[in-house]
Amino acid sequence: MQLVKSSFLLIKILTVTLLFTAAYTQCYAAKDYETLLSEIEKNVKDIKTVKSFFSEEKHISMLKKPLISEGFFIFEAPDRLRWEYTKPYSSGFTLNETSGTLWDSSQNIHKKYTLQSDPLISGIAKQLILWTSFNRKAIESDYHIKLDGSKILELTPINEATRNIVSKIRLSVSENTDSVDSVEIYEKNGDYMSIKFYNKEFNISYDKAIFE
Amino acid sequence: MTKKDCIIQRTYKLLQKYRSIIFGVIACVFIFSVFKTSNINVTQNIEVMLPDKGERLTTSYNLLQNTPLAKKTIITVSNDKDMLNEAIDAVAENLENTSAFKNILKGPGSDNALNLLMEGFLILPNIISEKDAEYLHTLTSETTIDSIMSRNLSRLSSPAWLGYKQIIENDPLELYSLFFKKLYSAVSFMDVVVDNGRFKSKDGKYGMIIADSASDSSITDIKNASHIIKSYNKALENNLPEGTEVFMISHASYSVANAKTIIKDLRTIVPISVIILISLFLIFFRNKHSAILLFVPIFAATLSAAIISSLYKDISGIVIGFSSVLLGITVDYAIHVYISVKNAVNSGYGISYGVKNIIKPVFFSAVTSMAAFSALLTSNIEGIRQFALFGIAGITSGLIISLSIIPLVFTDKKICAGSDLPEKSNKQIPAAKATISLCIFAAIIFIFSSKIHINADFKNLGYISDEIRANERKYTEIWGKMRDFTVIFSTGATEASARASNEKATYFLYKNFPALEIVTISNILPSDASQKKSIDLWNSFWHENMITVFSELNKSAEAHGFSENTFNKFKKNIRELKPPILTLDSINEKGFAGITNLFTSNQGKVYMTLLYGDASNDKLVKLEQEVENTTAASFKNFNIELAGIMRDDIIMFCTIALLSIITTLIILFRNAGEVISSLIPAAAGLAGISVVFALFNIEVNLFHIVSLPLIIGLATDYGIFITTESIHEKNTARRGVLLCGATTIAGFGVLILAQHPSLHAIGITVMTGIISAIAAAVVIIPLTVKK
Repeated sequence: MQLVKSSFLLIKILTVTLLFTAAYTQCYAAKDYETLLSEIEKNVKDIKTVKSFFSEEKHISMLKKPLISEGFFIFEAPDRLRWEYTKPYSSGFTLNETSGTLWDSSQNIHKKYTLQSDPLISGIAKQLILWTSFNRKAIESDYHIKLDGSKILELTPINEATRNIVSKIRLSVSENTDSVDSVEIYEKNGDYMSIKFYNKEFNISYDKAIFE
Repeated sequence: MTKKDCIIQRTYKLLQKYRSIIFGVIACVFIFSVFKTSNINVTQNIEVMLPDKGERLTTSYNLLQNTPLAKKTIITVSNDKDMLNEAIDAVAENLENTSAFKNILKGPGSDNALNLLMEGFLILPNIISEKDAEYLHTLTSETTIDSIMSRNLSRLSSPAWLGYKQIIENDPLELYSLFFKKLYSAVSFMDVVVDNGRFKSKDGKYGMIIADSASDSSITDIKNASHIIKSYNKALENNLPEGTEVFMISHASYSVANAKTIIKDLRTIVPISVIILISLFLIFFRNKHSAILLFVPIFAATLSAAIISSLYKDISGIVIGFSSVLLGITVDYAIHVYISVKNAVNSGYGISYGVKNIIKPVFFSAVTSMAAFSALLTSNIEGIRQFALFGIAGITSGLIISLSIIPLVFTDKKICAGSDLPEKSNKQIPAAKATISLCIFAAIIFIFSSKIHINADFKNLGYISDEIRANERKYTEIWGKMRDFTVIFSTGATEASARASNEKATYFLYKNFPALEIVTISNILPSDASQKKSIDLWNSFWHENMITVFSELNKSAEAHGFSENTFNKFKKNIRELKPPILTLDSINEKGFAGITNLFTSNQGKVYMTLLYGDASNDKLVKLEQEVENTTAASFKNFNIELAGIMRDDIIMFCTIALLSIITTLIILFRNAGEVISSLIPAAAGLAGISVVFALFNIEVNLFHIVSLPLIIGLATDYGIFITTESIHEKNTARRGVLLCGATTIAGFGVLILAQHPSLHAIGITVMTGIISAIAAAVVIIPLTVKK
């Protein structure tokens, strides 16, 4: 766990991957960039819970084959989340306001944490709240956002250090513009990750215990 | 007419004859004193208030001023719009654009944590211990490598894969865990984490910026402190992201708050004091000549400052300020002489008659005050000794000028001394009666003084505003405790020797304080000898195991699906890693300056290690004995030791003062009842102070202690005058005593209104002591007289 303790500094990079969570919950169809973002701001207020399954493909040069993972997430505004991988490893974390559980079956890790004791999760939570509440000003201070075609939002990190790792993020809005279908995160060295969402459900009540 | 009367008469005849010359001489002495005083080298160094009983305490104090962060300005930044990084950067940039700050640190010195981690990996050969070398075997065993590779793959699947990817590529065997363990021991002194190259609180809500003063002047120097505060405020005016909140902890805040409070206090108190004094003089004297009375304390303070400046090269501003205030008591002698001479002249007797009536009690009053001040010469604190000399010189000059100049303001048409001072009446003061009163006060002192606590914390001598207190509280909540630690200072003629001492001290602490938290940079910057040993261990390990480890790594990487050349960079680093011996400079160049700067000073000739928790003093003394060039100091022990010395000082001072005063009174009265009676006001004064301090839980500080001679001296004066009056058929002393008491309260007692703790300390001591003493003098002494 030494690594987890010390790698809190990578939170910002990590949370880029969580963009899709927010994007999924927030992106609605729009004719142009301004309209799209305004509608997201407006519509996100009505989203109380989201559940979605996902499949993830990481094309990493250090691995011979793409790394394929599957899982699901459940988010309840403003600060409850269950993020779980089911394949190839069973791992994930929950967040229930200020505390939660971390697990990774491959490393035999299963522990309770609080936001104060675990800056890694604290960072994730902070970013989640940022995106779910769609603090547009804060997002725009981190990314240049442009509309590529009518359905794809392309985000470029403003910070050079971040840009040296993540060159761009592409969010693909679904055909009927009520959610995000996929997210692609591109690295400077050509590695990339794509994640596709399916079986999405909105505003369904969940037992609080799943966030414990 | 007695022989003594003749001498007095002739003397004043002569003085009157050369009145103009005498005034001229006094004026010259005064001008010379003013000139000499203006050239005094006044220091703001509080060290003068430290005991010289052991150099240890002073050394500790000086060393504690150099503890990590002690001289730094620490700025805490928050942002409620989730733009903390931007807020930290903006504040740091704005601070850099001011002329008040330098070495502005918002993080450990490296651009990002990955850099720090990589640099940490590269210095591993210099810092591993034998235990670490053993752990290397475990880390590189077949089973562990397989387990780590599996973990690496799992990490790449996690949401944090982007960060892990670079770490895995550079260090697939988690060798960095050895480095982080050592780094942790250097950064755990506060609740600080590093996020994106910035110091942050564990909850990520706050950022920390550490800055040095750009000026060579001390941060407590008021000009520099004001500049720092102004620049800080200016830096917060522009270009900060919305929702940014900032607060600062700095000695500069304390200095400016103190200076402002003193000025504010004086602006309130001086006019009140002046109005009361003028009103008193107008009511009592209704005479323009009486204005000269105010000249006496001014002359006494100036002359004694000039005399002290001849004895000491540097004089503490605290001593000068405080002594000058206390020398206001010399106005009492002038008042008594003035009243007596005025009465004599108005009654048709000569000046010398008035002087003769008062000379004895005035002289002995001055002697008792001098005795009280002399007792302070035994103090272990140089500042108090300077203060004692100042007091003695001031009282002497005040006495001389009261007896020489004050009578000459009257025109003596009738030189004849007239009838003599009435002989002693048949009134007596029975010793038993006076003793009972004295014993009652002594019992009160005994009972209540045991409930009074001494607060030796220098910090409490200064004013701490509500804002500063609130900031201190917030700081502690966010970053942890500020002062509850022992610092072990290791020094050396060179950086390398100081580093070696620091390492030895650290070993000692680990061995002797296993339960306490030790914060040190020794683990990431060991001595030259240890580094050589580490490098040997490292080389020896890889020489023996490189082929096997690389082979296991390749095998496991293949099995887990890693590409063939993924770990080439790691292998190259291991093969080519031949680091030179690390020094403070070289580790700083690698990006560790943000950490090392907090634990070193004087170009690395001083290293510091912190020990948190309740450390046994005996073991710390043993550390100093066993490890050369080390000194352990803590604010807690410093305050305990200082409080002990202050307690000894008070007991010693009171005993000597009492004995000296009793001796003087015996010479004056040669009567037990009168001697004891004269002591009643002093006892009442001390009893009053004891009761008030005990009931209101007022902790005694240095300023209370140095106010005691004033109370004892003045109260004894009141005793002498009222006792003399009571046994003679005169009624002028009571009026004089009441006026003197009123002027003292007007002058010093009003300081009770001050916000500044030092001024308030003087005020409350004087107010309580003088009121009690006057009440005892005018009420109790007359009751002890047997007609």
